[in-house]
Amino acid sequence: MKIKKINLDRKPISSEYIQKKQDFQQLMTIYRKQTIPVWKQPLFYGVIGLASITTVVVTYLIPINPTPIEKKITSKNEIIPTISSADNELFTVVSTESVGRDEKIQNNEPSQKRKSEASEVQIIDLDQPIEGLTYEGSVSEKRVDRKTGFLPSVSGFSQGDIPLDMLCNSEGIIVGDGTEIKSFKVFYSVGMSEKTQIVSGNKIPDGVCVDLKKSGFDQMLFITEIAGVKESKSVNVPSMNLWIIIG
Amino acid sequence: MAVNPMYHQTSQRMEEELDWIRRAQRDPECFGPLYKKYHEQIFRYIYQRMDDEETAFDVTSQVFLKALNNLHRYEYRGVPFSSWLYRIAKSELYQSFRDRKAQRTVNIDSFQLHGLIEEMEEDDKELNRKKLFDCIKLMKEKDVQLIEMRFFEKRSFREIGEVLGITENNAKVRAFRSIEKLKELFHTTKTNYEDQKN
Repeated sequence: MKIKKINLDRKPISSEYIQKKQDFQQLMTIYRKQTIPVWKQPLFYGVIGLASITTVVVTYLIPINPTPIEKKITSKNEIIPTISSADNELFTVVSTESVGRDEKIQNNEPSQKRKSEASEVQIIDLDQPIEGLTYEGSVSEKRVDRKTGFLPSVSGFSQGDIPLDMLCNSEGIIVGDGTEIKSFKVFYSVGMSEKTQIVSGNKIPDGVCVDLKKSGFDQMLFITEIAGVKESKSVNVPSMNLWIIIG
Repeated sequence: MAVNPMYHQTSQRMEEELDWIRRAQRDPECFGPLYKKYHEQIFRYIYQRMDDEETAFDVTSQVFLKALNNLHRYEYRGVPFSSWLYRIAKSELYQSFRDRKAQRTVNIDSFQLHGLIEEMEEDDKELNRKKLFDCIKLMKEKDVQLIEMRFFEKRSFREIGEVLGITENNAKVRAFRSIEKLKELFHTTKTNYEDQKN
């Protein structure tokens, strides 16, 4: 601060004069009249605070749109297309003689018959109700008696919860119409990663059972690309997903 | 005459002051005793550094208004309440200079000036006084402050330390350095004056 002026021997002011100039009441009047800015008032923070809390609650605590994946995982009781590379896969019977190899036909139309060159191909739409298929038991018991059916099952379980020991100590994957399972693919989680195995035959490998037990938590087991043989013909069997109960 | 005869307090007075402060923090209406106690010394501090009396009273009122508004933040930590007030006063003083409500002034009386010239080891002559004034105008604010408080206001080093927020020792060292700077400036200026005279 630059010195502007120097006064020599300025007339002093007495203490009495200074005391006369004291005015505490005026000071208090000015103090009381001071207006507090809106943003400094407690009411402002109360309203803003309440609005902030409401926003946080609405955003994080109330789910708006569950993800499609969650829907699929929780829908253990439904007969729906499996979570596999081939969604909406239909069950087809393809003649190996006419085609030379297995074919998958994807079609969203209701059940229909289509003639191929050499043989009749029946396309069954899984979205349509299937005769003879019923659920038995409560929600927690999703065992389906379908020995006569064409859907694959393990220890009678085609979908839903299955205890691990029933998965592993079973006769393997069975199709009620006599289809012999030749191979399948199994997909499951191991720790933070996923594992896929191509299995020959119809039995769940011991290695898979060991992995599932080691994981220590219930999880989904996806069994896909099930290839079978029925009446000397190669068939593709619908995929299945089972919720493995470890404990 | 010492500017601040009430500065040095007994422990009883300090306890009494703390009680006032606590009451005022709960109820601003109880600030009266503190206002009455410190009004004069804050005014004198401000008036010492400016030219206009009315402006000095206005700035003094501003100081106490600010103190009232921030009283809830004051916490006794061994530093007297007066030190806290002086810091507010310094802030308000400089604000008034920046706002051009007042101009920075140094007020000296002859007796104090004589003491300073003796400190400079010079003769108390009209020429030396004039040179001294010129040197003071050339000095930095922080050095002028120390010279003012020590030589013109006759404050102890302890008081200077508490007003500036430094230790007593530090206040001594700084005051010594400020005088040395003034001496150096004075001798340089003296040379110029002699050259002009010649």
